[in-house]
Amino acid sequence: MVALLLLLLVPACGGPQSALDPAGLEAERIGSFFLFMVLGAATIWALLMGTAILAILRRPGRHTERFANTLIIGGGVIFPTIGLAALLTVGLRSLPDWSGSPADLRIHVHGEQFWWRVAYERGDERIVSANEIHLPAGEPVEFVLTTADVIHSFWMPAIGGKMDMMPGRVNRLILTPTTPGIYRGACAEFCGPSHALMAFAIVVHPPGEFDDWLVAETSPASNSAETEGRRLFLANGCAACHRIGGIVELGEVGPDLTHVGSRRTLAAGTAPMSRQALTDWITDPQALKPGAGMPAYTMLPEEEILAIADFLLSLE
Amino acid sequence: MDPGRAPTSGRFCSPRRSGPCISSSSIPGFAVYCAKAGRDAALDPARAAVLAASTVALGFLVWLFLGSWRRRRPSVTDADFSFEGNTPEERHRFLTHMSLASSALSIVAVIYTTIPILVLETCR
Amino acid sequence: MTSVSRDGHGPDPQDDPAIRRAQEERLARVWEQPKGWRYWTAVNNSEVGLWYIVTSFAFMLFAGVLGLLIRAQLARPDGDLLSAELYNQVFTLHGTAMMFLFGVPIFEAVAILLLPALLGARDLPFPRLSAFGFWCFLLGGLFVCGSIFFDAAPNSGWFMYPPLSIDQGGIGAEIWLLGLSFIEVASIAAAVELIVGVLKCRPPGMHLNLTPLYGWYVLIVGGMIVFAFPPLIAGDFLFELEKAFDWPFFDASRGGDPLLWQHLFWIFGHPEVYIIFLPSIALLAMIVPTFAQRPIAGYSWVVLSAIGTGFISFGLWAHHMYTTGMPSISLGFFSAASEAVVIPTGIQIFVFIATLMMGRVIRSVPMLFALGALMIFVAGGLTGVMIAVAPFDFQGHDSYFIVAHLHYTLFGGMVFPLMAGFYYYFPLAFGKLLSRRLGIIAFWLLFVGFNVTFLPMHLTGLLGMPRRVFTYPQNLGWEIPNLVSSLGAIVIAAGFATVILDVIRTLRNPATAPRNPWNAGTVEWMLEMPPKPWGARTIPHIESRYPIWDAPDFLARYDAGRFYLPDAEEGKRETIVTSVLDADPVQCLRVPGPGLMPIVAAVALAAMFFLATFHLWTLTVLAGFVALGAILWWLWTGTALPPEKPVKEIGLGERVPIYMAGPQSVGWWAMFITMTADLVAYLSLVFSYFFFWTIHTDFPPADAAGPGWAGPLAAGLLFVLAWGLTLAARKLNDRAHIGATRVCLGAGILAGAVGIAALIAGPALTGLDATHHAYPAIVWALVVWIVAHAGIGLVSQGFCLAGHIRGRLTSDHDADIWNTTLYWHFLLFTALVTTLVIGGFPLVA
Repeated sequence: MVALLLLLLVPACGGPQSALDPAGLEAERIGSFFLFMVLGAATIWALLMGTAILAILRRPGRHTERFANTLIIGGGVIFPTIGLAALLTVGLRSLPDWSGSPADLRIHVHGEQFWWRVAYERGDERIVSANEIHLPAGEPVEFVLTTADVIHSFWMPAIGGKMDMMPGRVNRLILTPTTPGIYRGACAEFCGPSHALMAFAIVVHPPGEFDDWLVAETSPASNSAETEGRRLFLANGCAACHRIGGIVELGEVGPDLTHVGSRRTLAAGTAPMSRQALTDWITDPQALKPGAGMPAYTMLPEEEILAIADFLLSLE
Repeated sequence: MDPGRAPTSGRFCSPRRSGPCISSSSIPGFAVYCAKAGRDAALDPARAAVLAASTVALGFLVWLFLGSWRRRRPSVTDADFSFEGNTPEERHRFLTHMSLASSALSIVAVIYTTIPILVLETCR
Repeated sequence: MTSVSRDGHGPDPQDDPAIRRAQEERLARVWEQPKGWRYWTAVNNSEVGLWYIVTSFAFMLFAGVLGLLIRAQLARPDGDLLSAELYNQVFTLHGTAMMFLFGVPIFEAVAILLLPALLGARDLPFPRLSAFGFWCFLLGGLFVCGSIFFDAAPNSGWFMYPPLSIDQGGIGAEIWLLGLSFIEVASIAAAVELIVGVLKCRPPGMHLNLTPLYGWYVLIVGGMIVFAFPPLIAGDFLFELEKAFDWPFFDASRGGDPLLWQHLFWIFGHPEVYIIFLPSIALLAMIVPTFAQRPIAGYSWVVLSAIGTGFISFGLWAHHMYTTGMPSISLGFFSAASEAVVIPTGIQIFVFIATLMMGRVIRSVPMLFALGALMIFVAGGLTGVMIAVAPFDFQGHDSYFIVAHLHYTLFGGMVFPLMAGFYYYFPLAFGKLLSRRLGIIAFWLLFVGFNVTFLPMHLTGLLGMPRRVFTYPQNLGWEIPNLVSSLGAIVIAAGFATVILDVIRTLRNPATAPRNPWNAGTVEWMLEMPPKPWGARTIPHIESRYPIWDAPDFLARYDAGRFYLPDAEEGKRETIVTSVLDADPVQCLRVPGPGLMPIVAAVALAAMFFLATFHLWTLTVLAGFVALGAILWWLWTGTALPPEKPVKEIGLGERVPIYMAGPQSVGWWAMFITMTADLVAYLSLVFSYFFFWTIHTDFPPADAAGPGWAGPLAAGLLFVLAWGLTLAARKLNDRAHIGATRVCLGAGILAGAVGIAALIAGPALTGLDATHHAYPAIVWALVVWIVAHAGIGLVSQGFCLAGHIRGRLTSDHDADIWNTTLYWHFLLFTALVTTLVIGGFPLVA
């Protein structure tokens, strides 16, 4: 059975959210450790089941009680004791050390129902963003994980293991992405109606390019023109919750929208970013994402919503 | 659970109780220690204490194990599985075997809970 | 059998067929089940056990249908069969019902049905307690499951993590809390019954080392329930206080901690996995020797490893919490314990394999299921070894890999062994054999369906699919494995449908099974087919583990009624109580017949819990009083009744007393075990107090004024006084000092009542506001706990006083006051710890 699992694994282990297609140091270590354990487990399973089936099919044996005793002590006591002690020691050695941090870059991720408030901290710089994680390849990154409401769990399978966000606690996670690319992460702890829709895109930048991205992210909103969409955004009170750096910096309840147009997904991985998705979202967020905090704007005429959507898309 | 309550013979339950308990009491101990002292805290003073406790527990368990082994060996190595009858001696044999095997299991349990102390040096 | 001394005077009356026929008629009359609607007032194990099994199986089918809904929703990406809200209710209820309404109750159900047969007893020591437990279970289960039809089911996962369950759980969370607390009470009742059953109701001669392995497992699992369920009850208690009265135990903004709930939940939750697993393995331990046609190879190994598994299973709960941010050293310890538990579990499997190797194996449906169980369980155990390694669990945790793992352990460790046991023991319950052909078909449907459903989930999980998602997008590589899983689920359903079909078909078929159809060697197969209402015709004298194989005349002697209690001369239901180690007969226990009180008490208690869900406090209190009244009436009219004669001849020359009090009696043991469970729940509250201390730098907080030391000190002294008076009353009653006994009991009540007032006065007069911070909340919680228990203590003193005045409590018949004193020992201990903790700890902290 486990061997069958292996066969299944070979062609199908890819995907942007796969722990079996690692793009980070920790995920790689866990992945190879896993393969080693699967092979061991498959061997043990096959041996054990072979013995059991033989015992049933074979003609009644000449086995003495002494033989049975040896089997129980050898197979049931000595072998697992040694094997598991070895496995335990290997496992303990690969336990992460969270006491210090080698990381230069800290990313504060704050879970909220059902999205991610993200802040990048390097030196004195602190840049606020949301729902997307950008990482430099080949550099350790420290994640500082907190929550605003219930328990969430921050999981980037391709980069490394998960860590919960607990109310009243600050949890940390240190990971080192290695392979540039675009991946996907998600909330792993059940956190309410839209737990399934609390995901995020991960962009691992090639070494050096991350700093360019960070500079771009630091800059205020790219589109400062006085468009109709911008007027409507302000007139309808959107700014009470959403901040747009350089344009309006009032509310901080909802995700920061300074560079929302450049994000790959809308509403924390609920849908790919597009004009259609944005208009649907503004019209009735609950329809896309049950339990979302944003109120519906069904009362706005369609062209006004389109104008707001166009304005947001222009914020790259 | 309390497996020792029913069969109240001391030989039967003492190794069960003492071994894992001495060593597993280190779990809450370390949890409180690390919660109060922080992750960088070195385990050193506590480590020594736990290692000493484990050694004492192991010594005690090995002594028990050898004691029951001397009594029990003939029947362990011959016809242990044959039917055990209805005499007080048979019951005693059963309890001795239980004592022997549970001291072995306790030794394993103590070693297992000591491994983390040997491998890790700080709370991390 | 020659060692058994017979009553050697004159010809053996059992030689006369007329006498035997008269005996059987009397037995049949005594053990006859009531007819019409009164059938439901039956309390004896063969009826209650059967109802219990059918009910928990029905809950399993219900939860299975919910499982099918889950698979239907996830069959394709962006599924919209269920709304997010309904899906969350469905998966919460699926897990809750499978664990609480099937996993644990089916163990109790099977044990209640089988244990007396395995021990050659006529019934368990407390039949009404079993019946009470069953009615509680049925009502609580219907309440919890029914909620989904009102869109009010719990929706925060079967683990109910706060703060989600508190903020958004709505009434569903309270239905979960109160409905399940109620069922937990029933589980503890069953555990008490079963532990005492194994320890005190074994047939004469069945030394501890001759006990059937199933009995050992029941004993161990009963013990585990006593220690595992109370922490959850304590957790439920705190949770309900937060939910209903806003006491912030789990609210981080007011000094609480959601992690506390996780600890309390998993201290229960992990042993619970083994509570489900061990009794099912126990069935295999009975089945494997029968079909290998030889004794089990390594009886003591099995006993040892069952004890070891049970013991270690209490030390690994935090492996469910690897990703909560605990220090690595803690992860290391729990990792070690999680690996260590594999060793005793593995020993059991090797014993089965060794037995099979040494015997001549007969191929049968139960063996097929046993082999399937082995295959699935070992696979689940091996993935368990993997996720016990913390770094790998960082990836696997809360993903579908865990879903796969837990279903492998539960299907392999529980469902398949249970099916094996079902096919094996069906004749014992109904006197009929299930179809071999349909059995084989059902096995293959279940086995293939199971693996098709759950094997791909390992992959789905590692491809990054989190648990408990109501939908998933395309293009993540999850489509195919999910579709395969959903198709497999249909095959599983077909397998269960086949089993049900087989059962219906067999029950309609008039053909009865031959006696001992599998040629087994253990005691329970001595029973006649079809089964008789009295259970055992005569309670046998046991001299080996497999008496039917070892003693050729065993069945003949049994049929002729040549063992103990072949008759019911006084028209009373009777069974034998024996000593714990060597099973020497010590008492002829009169067990009660049909009665309405268990149902009345269960309904009133259910009303109390359900009304509390809706915060109808007046009605809740009212229902509580009805329940208390019903229980007191039950105790007054049906327990510790003075018999018409002190001793009785039970056959084979043995004469034993009918009435017993104190540590020799089953009632005292039951009280002791119940109070142990209660003590564990209390200690969980103390644990919570000190848990808050570890997470806070200032605890008690600087601004907390109370509860001071004076109130707790006074309360402590008064409780010592009340306890001393109760103890004195027992000793005075023993010496037949009638007046002094009554004075002591009365004064004890008074001292206890003033003690309660003093205990409340501490936090009340210092103005501790329980909603302000976790510190006053936990102080108040401890006080409330002790006050409630002291209240019960006063009632039992009053019960003794009333009994003494009415003459049902005398110096010869003093079981009530023995049990009351035992209760007060525990009460005094918990009260003193409480006063020391709340009054003394702030002084030293």
